[in-house]
Amino acid sequence: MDSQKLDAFVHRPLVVLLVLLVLAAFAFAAVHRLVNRFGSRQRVLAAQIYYHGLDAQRQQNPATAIADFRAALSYDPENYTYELSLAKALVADARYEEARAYLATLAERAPQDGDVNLELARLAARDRNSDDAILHYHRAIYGLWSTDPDSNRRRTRLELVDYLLQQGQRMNAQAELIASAATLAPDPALHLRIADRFLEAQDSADALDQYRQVIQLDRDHAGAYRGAGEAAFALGQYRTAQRYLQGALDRGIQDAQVSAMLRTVNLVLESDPSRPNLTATERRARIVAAFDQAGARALQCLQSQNKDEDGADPLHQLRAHWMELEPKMRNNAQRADATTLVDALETVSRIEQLTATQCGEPQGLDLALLLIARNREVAER
Amino acid sequence: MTAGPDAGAPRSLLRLAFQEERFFLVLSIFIGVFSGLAVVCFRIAIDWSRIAFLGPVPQPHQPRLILAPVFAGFVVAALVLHLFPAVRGSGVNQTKAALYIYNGYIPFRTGIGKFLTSALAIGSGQSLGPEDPSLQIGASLASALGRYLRLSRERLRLLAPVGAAAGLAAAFNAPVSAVLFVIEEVIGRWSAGILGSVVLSAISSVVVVRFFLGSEPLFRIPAVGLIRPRELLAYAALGLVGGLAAVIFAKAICFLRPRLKAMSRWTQYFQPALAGLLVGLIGYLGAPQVMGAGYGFIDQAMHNQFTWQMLAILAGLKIVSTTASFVSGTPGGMFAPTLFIGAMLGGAVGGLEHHFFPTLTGSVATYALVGMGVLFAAFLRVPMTSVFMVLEVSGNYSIIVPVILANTIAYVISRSLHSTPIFDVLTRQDGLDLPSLEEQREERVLRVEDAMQVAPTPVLEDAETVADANQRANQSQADVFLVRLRPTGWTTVSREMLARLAKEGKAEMTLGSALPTGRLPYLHPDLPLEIALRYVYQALIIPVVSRADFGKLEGVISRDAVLNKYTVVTKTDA
Repeated sequence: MDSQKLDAFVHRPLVVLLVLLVLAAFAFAAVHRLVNRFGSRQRVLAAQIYYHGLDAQRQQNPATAIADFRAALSYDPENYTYELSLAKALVADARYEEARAYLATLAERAPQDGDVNLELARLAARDRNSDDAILHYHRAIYGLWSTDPDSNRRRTRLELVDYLLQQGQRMNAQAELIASAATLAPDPALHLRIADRFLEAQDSADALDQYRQVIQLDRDHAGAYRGAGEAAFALGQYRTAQRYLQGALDRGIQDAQVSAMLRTVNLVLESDPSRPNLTATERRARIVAAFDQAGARALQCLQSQNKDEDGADPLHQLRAHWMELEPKMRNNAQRADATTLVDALETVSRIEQLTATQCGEPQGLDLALLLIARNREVAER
Repeated sequence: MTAGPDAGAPRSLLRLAFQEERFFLVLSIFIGVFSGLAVVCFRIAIDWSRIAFLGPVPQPHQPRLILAPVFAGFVVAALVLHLFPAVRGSGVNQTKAALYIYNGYIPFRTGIGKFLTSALAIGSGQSLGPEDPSLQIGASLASALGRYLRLSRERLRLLAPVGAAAGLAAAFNAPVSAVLFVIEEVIGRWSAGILGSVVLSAISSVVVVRFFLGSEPLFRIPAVGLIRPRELLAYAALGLVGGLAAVIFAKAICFLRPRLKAMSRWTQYFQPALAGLLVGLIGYLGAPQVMGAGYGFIDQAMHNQFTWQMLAILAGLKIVSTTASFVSGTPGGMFAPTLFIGAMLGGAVGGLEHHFFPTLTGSVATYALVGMGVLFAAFLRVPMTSVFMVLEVSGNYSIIVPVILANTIAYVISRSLHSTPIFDVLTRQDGLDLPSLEEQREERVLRVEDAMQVAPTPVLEDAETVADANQRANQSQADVFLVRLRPTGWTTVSREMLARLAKEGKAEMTLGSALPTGRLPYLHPDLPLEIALRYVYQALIIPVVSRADFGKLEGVISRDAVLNKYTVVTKTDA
């Protein structure tokens, strides 16, 4: 190839490539403009369809809502809101598999999104995948929320508490509740919800504390009085329970359970021989009454079980011991020594606890005596 | 061009940079960019016409679902018959014909026609896909560019598959599958010379498409995988069903297409409209999923949105509607419908198997994904592309075993029951005969060992004296003898030559010094017999030696032996 031809060859491709580059740049710009215009048109269309979908959702028409959200997303594929709405609509329509796929995509795009993590937590909970559920609940709690983050985080934490309680993870639920209670605004409704959950998580002390805060904020909150009564009852603080349960009834609560609880509380307070400020006579009288009631309860329980005399049976042994003590208590109660009284009280406790396990939870005075027995046990421990 | 790497001179660097081969590679990138831009516009055109024809949210019982494809069918028919007669069908065959028959020539007008008519047809709901038209659009752009640049005929011919790969990769958002498909189906042979250009164009087009339309896949793939190897049986069943479905699909097209094409010209105006009516009716009566490419519904099938009965119905309806659309001559592709049918069929088989064997761990999505590969392998008869397509689309290699198993079964069934691949049938129906990779695989390859004969004895050594050699030669019947040269190499010597050397007083000289210095070429037993043809005219016999030891003689090959072998094989085949 001579020099001229070589030069021609070398320079021709250079020019060609430059021309192609310029052409490509123009074509790129033109297509960019076209894509943008078409994209904005599609986004407008997507928004219209999306709002139509929201209307359908409000009118309880999930199929239309899902079709609309899906169409909106197809016209505006990057739109986070549409995708999230579609995922939520799919969850609401029990189409979990597809919802999961959308949520997974959303979680990839925004791993800190509270809404997405909450939905993923619910799906994991539904799949009985406890670890994932708790992980996503926590991500939601500590994640980002586009609107009302405090309220959403609190709501999510309460949902987590409910889930943990369902799973029997009481301690974890209590930990979440304590964290939640620490940042509560002075709103009776919020304190009441937390208090209710504390009660459910069997953290009666914190529950009572929260109910008291509700009562401080709203003196006439009947529900708080009732809850406080129940919490105090569970804590064995019967005088406090009496005050709150009475307060609940006085504020219009009409509930047989509250009334029954109050009756039991009254019986406990009337029958407990260990209450302070009792005279010796009154204390002895209470012990004798409890002793008689326990003896009858043991006999009734043995008869209901149709058990023959069996020296090895604990209830029979207790009944036998009760019968040994009975003459001392019956004939000489006023002069019975302290040891006998303590023995009698101990026998009462053991009979009530044993019969509760063998013949079912007692009622009335027996229940009161059982509660007194349990309280004593806790105090001794 | 003979430019060397003369680093000192700028001019030489320029020369190096613009060697024709390198220029071709750079050009491939531009082809990819332009094809990518064209495909972006094509997809926008399809979306636009879909919204215009079918409305933003197509639902059953909307009258426009019937009216739109019928109306568009008439328009498309008129355009095809009067303005763009070369745009019928998918476009794969036309691109292949350009490569093998028309020296890479695809009229630019065909690309424009394909763009317009396919966008109208697919947008209006005809059951066809955008991939094959994109392939042809890319090829026509590349061809036009090559002609404008006045490239050599050889280069121009190669540009068509380069553009085809770019168009397909952009439409499918899967460069590896596009490259493999172009090699398997368009080029029809593995050619290292063009592979680099094809890959470059495919990748650059995908980059362009992703820049404009995002990198979201055509459908979202949920978690898929194979947990228990014994579940491979379930996938084998899917391969069986998929293979049979592909045969039905292919046979329906092969049977109806020539008949409809042979009908009088005036009926051609109505055929796309009638196909549109059928597709529209299916959509109107409750299955709008079959209208258009249907990627959104593949996505839904992957996510358990349909019962297995519904999936089976959709697969059947899609076969019917795609057959109608395609055989009517409506421009549009077969890729998307094949994937749709495969996904639905896979999901249906998976759902059915789950119904009877609830302990199966494979999700419906896994079956749908494998099903797509199955139909791809069995219907389009591109087994390698089918495997890579599934892997590329899913981005998950854990299902490679079920994919290969099911695809192989489906492919074997399809080959057994429908011997000629669909694209080859279509080509022949159009009066063309183009090479096919599958047929090449079938062809018997003759090798040197097939025509090789026992070497004449004795084999002489170059260290022997002429007298000794003459004496040994006299004990043999042969006229020509091979001489082994040291350290390597072979030559021949005739009986007459030995006698003459002895007479010339060279009896005590060694053969190595007495014979002329020229050496014979040698062959190996596994070489194709065609290669032997290049050499057998240089000498009466050519040595065939071991690849491990060039001094070890395996046999000899002669011109007569080669020709006899070809004669025998031709007679046997006949």
